Amino acid sequence: MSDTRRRTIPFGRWAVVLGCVLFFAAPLVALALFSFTSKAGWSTDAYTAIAKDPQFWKSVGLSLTLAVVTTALSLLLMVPTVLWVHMRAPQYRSLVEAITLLVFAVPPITLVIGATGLLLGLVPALLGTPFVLVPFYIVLSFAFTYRALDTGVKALDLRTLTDAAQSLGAGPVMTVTRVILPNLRTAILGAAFLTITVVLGEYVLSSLFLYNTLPVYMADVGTTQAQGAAALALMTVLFTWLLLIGVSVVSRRLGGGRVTTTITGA
Amino acid sequence: MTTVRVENIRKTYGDFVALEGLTLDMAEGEFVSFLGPSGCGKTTALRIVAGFEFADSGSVLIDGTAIDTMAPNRRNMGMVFQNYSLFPNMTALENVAFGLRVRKQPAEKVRSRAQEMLDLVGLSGKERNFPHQMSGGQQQRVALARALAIEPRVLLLDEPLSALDAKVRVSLRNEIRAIQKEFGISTIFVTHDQEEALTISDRVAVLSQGRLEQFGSPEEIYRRPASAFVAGFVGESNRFTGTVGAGGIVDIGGSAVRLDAAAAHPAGTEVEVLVRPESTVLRDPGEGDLPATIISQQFQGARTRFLVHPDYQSDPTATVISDVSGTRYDELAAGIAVGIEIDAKSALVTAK
Repeated sequence: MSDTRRRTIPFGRWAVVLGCVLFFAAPLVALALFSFTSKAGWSTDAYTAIAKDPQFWKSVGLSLTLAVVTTALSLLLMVPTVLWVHMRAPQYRSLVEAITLLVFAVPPITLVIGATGLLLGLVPALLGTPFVLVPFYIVLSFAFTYRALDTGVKALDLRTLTDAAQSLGAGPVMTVTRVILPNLRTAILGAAFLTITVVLGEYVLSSLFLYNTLPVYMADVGTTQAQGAAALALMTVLFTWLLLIGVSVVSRRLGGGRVTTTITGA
Repeated sequence: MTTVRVENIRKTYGDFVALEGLTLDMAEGEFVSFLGPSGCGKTTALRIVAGFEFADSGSVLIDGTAIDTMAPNRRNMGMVFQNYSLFPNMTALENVAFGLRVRKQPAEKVRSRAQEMLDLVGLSGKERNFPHQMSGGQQQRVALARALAIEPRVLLLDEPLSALDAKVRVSLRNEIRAIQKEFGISTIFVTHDQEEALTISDRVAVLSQGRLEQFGSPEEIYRRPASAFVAGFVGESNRFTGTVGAGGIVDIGGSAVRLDAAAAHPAGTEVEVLVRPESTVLRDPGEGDLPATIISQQFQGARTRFLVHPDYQSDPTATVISDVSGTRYDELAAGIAVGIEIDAKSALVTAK
């Protein structure tokens, strides 16, 4: 029997997609158009001026340095924590989840004053350097890092994989490095990406500590050169996109930490 | 070849007693199944042997040496898990080679041994497949090859077939048994499937609520169950209640039934009598031990299953299952009166 059903064009679905595209694309297009205008018409003056400003490169360098250090330390802290919670202390999972969200309940100024006092006692040398921002960034990115890693770990049958590795003679270090971490690559890359975007977009804390990171520089430029601020914003968005694409490509090339699916039958 | 002794193991989780006084000996190259319902302690016992759990008291001895404090990665025991436990980031060949690489064996030897094991489980040509590219049966074959590759002293199988479909389950269990016999590895197989345990084991340990109910050959477990639990859990049984009289007679619903096992109980003891369906025979009315009426019959090929209602039972839903064979039963149909004869030698009699 032939299929006589009429194929309907999903107009409703396309309308929703189009609406979303417009909603997200329109501000970016407007931003791009604005950044390429000047009193004389179309121009790349805003981009040229930024590229020639040594302070811009200093800010980019500082933000990227902070992003790399924060990401490294954050992963060093969070990967073992998530593994520990899942394998050894599952009863503390909800507590750890709550702790990761705590930072959103504390106003930045309170966080700065409170944590500065603590840092002054623990590592006073840190206070005179931009790296004082790193502990704050780590705390700010807790929620994102934890969730990205937690989702990756949940997708693995951690206990069985660990038991299997141990039964084959692997010690704890080899089990983690050869079995667990390779299967968490996608989650780790995702957590790294989220941490980097948090650092590159953070303004309040760096402003309070008087460090000229990229967002602070962008705000400063915005007070005097509107097109310049738009150009910077566009470049930041494009950089984030490139980063996201890079993470996707790398995780796909690495195999993406595939999880075994249950298929019965020979 | 290795002997395993589990000695008086006790394991608790808070107030819950998972294992109590578990003791059993395994001979070299023996295939032993731990059989029991969920929560009976069979997997806990296996994990204690593997070293993933520690007993509160008692010991596990391999070739006479206690290994209770030895880390699991030093016990040299191959294990296949219920959940597919292949490393998702490795191919089939890499999975099988993992244990050999851990032992820092030469690369060429690792490769040839891993390939040999994959060939053994019938997966030649699947070396480069990742776990997600294989079926459940294939994954468990790789897991078996991986466990065997390290030449383990003991092979531990934790319900490795339970996630597979029926056809694959039967073929893989036969393969496991054949490979185990070929290698002569002492093997512990955990299962809740009685047919599986009876089919492939040298001996079966039946556990219930953390205790060992019976440890014996499949024939012993089936034909001479040591307790009402074993009789009920392994195979089907008809249950009767009665009172022991003199000379090995049990009064069941007013009928005097001679049962050999009744002699072990003093007269007047209230007992439960368990009888396998194939240990009953249907006789003409007035003959046999218990008058009854046929409710229904099911032709099952080599035998016929009758559901009969004992006349002494006031509950109309009470039935006795009788599996008989032979053409003389062809005439029997629903509503016909018969006499149930119970095989005096095989019935189990336990005090209530």
